[in-house]
Amino acid sequence: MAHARPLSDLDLELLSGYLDGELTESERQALETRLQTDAVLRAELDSLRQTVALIRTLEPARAPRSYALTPDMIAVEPTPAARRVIAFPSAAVFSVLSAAAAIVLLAFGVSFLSVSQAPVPAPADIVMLAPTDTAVIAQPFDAGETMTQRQIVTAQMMPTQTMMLRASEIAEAQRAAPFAADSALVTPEITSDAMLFSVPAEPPPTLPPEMLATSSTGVIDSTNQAMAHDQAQGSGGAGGAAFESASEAPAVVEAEAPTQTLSSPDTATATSTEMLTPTDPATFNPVPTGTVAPAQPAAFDDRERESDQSPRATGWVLIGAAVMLFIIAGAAWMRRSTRAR
Amino acid sequence: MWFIILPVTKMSMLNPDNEQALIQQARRGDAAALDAFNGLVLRYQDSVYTLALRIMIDPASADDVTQAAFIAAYQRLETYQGGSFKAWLLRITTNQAYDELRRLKRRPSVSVDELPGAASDDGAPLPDPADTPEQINESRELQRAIQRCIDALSDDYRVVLVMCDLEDYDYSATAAVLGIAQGTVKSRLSRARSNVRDCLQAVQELLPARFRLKGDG
Repeated sequence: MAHARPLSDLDLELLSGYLDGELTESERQALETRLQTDAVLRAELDSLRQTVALIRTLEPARAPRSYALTPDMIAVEPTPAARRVIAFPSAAVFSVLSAAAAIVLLAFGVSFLSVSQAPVPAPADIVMLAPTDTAVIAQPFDAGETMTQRQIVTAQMMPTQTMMLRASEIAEAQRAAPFAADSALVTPEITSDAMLFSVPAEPPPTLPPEMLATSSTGVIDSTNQAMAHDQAQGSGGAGGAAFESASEAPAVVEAEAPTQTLSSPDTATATSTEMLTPTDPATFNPVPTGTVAPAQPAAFDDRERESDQSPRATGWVLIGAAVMLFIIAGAAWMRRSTRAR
Repeated sequence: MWFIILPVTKMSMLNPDNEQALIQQARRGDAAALDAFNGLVLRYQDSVYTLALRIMIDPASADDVTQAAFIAAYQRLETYQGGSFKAWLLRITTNQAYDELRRLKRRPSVSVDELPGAASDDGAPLPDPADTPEQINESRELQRAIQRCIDALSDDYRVVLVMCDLEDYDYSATAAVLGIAQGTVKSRLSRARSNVRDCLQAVQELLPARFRLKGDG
């Protein structure tokens, strides 16, 4: 059949619907008006009508056999109710087991993180210090010590904001690096829960505030490493300017509150930046409390730092795995719900 | 099994209005439930098999789909909420056929000899005894050509064409069975018919003269 022009899909739909009596009254009247004057439309309608007539000549197929069901067929294929019974325990058990495994991994991860932050001293070996939000302890070097022999005192804040140090470490520190108790810095006005200062052996030149801000940004660990690196090079860290009046050879001091160490690095950074600004000397005015004893200076080389970071990384990995397992458990539980429907 | 089916068949044939009674009896789940459901199977198995064959094209696949559809219908009988049982059954059949098509992930290329309705097929219509051998051959050739053109349609078009032109469903019923909009049925059916028309025009030289489309050159 040669058409003078192709019909649009809309016209084809109208013609097809017209054959089936599926047009509205207005559509039917409009189409019949066009059919009276449009020969192409009429030819198309005839063609479609003949096509439908040919299609309808197809005989329905006969079933080649009986499809009547037998009890065996029903038994082989479980009923939907049976499928629910089968599906429910498997998905639910998988979900519960995944959640349990996630909880175990989470517990291990948290324990790894807590272990990696600071060792918990033995109760009999603890010196209770004055309550304060944050303590900054400066431990001077001997004049002959090199900068690679950095000394770090780690003071861990208890939930009651009380500092604890090992008594034996403190006594040993006093022998190794005689330093008056009043040279230790305690800054009650510091509101940050975690801060880190790196102080060079000699007072370094005062750094501009922007450099101070830059060096004290980021999470605590990276700041710690950057400062240690600065100190090893003898160039002076950001905290050096802040400790000009503290001592000649201060040590690296780290004070952390366990409840805030992981969750509020920004807070710690902001406060540290403020603290380290040399234009605010009052912030670092040493206020000896008389109850703070210098702790044992500990050698802290890179190898030890790596060993300290390893449990933390492991902890994070375990926590990540726990989160993934929680997600899988949730998905399995949702799957169980879907099947149950 | 015939001794089980026979009484049910007689019962269903004697009273064509007892479809709902059979459904209710099949829902009870007692010993007679399966027999009651088999009465429905015998009533609709030709329609179910025809639909399955039109969708699957392959008789063996249609056989599997038909059996699976009746099993699924029995197991889901509690979801039947009245209305046309045939439409509900054909919806299950359509879903089963689509699932099978997806599983096979193939579109079989059917040769003329393998077309449903061929002499070797189980579903071949019986020839009219009044027809001459020439007329029978012409009719079979026409049936093959039409079937071939229908099989060449896409699944969506083919199913709509089968439902509307071979199963005599109106647009709304077809839309209900397939779960699509009525406008979609309208457009798909229009394109399916147009495609079949073009297909038949391409092979009309093979058709007997009395079956050629009018106005075709």
